[in-house]
Amino acid sequence: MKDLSNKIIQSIEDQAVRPVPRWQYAAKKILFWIMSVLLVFFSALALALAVYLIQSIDWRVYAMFGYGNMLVFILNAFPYAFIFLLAVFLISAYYFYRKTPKGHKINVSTLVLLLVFSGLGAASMLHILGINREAYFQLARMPFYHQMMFTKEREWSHPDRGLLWGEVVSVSRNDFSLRDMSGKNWKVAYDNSTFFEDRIYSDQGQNVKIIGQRNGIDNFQAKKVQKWDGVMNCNGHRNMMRGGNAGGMMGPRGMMNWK
Amino acid sequence: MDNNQITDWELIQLSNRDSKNFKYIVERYQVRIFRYLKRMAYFSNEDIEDMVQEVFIKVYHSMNDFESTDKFSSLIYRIAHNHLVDRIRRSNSRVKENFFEDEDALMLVRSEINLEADLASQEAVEKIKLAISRLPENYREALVLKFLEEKTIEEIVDILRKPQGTVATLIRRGREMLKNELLKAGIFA
Repeated sequence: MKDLSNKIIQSIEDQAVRPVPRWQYAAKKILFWIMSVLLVFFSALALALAVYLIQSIDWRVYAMFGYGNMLVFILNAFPYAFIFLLAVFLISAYYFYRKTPKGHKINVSTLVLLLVFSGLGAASMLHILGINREAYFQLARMPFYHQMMFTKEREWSHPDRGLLWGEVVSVSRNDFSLRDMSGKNWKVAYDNSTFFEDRIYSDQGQNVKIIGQRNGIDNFQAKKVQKWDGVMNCNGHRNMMRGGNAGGMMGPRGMMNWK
Repeated sequence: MDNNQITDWELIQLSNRDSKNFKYIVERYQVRIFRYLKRMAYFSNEDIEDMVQEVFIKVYHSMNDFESTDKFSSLIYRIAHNHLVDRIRRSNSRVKENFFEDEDALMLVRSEINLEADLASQEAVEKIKLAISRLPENYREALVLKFLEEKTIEEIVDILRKPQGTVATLIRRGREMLKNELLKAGIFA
């Protein structure tokens, strides 16, 4: 073959080719590392959110949701979106890790195991620290979130099926007012046969879930009243549960004693 | 300047200062890259020379991607490999039979079997070349890098950017396939 060196140098000069600066390669390498780590974190968050959603499902009342059997309910309640996101983030993390300088050297199975276990470890940490719960609150504030996802908020918003949850607005002798997720006010009646899991206060912000029966457009007869896990109000904001005596916050009947 | 006394890393530093110094890198690697490209696909010598030029322009453009702890030849081969893949894809050209040099074909097969002197007749050589050209491209490339370019597994890992296990598998299966092809051709009983 001919000596091409002079021709190549001439082409480099004619085309004004310049070497890419070293810092650009360094930045690219750092970017790929950051993306790999971030994507593992996001996959862990997706997994932790899926776990939180499954954990927060009220399995005891699944039959009341109208699904009939457990399998149909599980298929409906399964957090597909988060599992899908988990897969997308993990695959992307795999791709970005492969692009790191030594990323091609590790075997496929080793890398997959490494990513899966890193994701599981991070998801466990997020779950233990309650970050998945916090993330869920943030997501739940997004418009249409409850329309798109199977959430307990949505499933407990079926007064026709006897399930209602909301924020207690005021309490009187035989009933209390409740504002549901859509902002609608309900008059919830109770009597001696109504089972109260705990005490209820009339001060705003306390959330309850009720099993009962709808008696008209905005009337509801309560059979069982339970705490709404104390995590959200109807607007999706954090609700600090008030325990013990909430001085000066009692309703007309004062503090009701839950049975 | 005595090109042979200077390391690749030093040549890169010099080339960064003045593009004319890149000439020494070209002189050091052009024959190897020409031979590698020629072994990998059927193109005319003129086409291969054009490809060598394009490869070295790319090498010059991305030479700062090279770390002093790596082998610079692996970076050049990697760029040549990518360029070749791209070129084959663009030209949509199929690998033609008998594009291997006789000597290369025999050398590759010798890694597999002990050729009897009489087997190395022209007819046998043609059959061997045909058998090699029938190997899938990725297997053929692994064999070429290992047995003709005499690269270590570690270097092939960096050139093909594939894990060590995958490279080892490509070489092992490539050898098995080559053996089978040679069996079919009646070269290897």
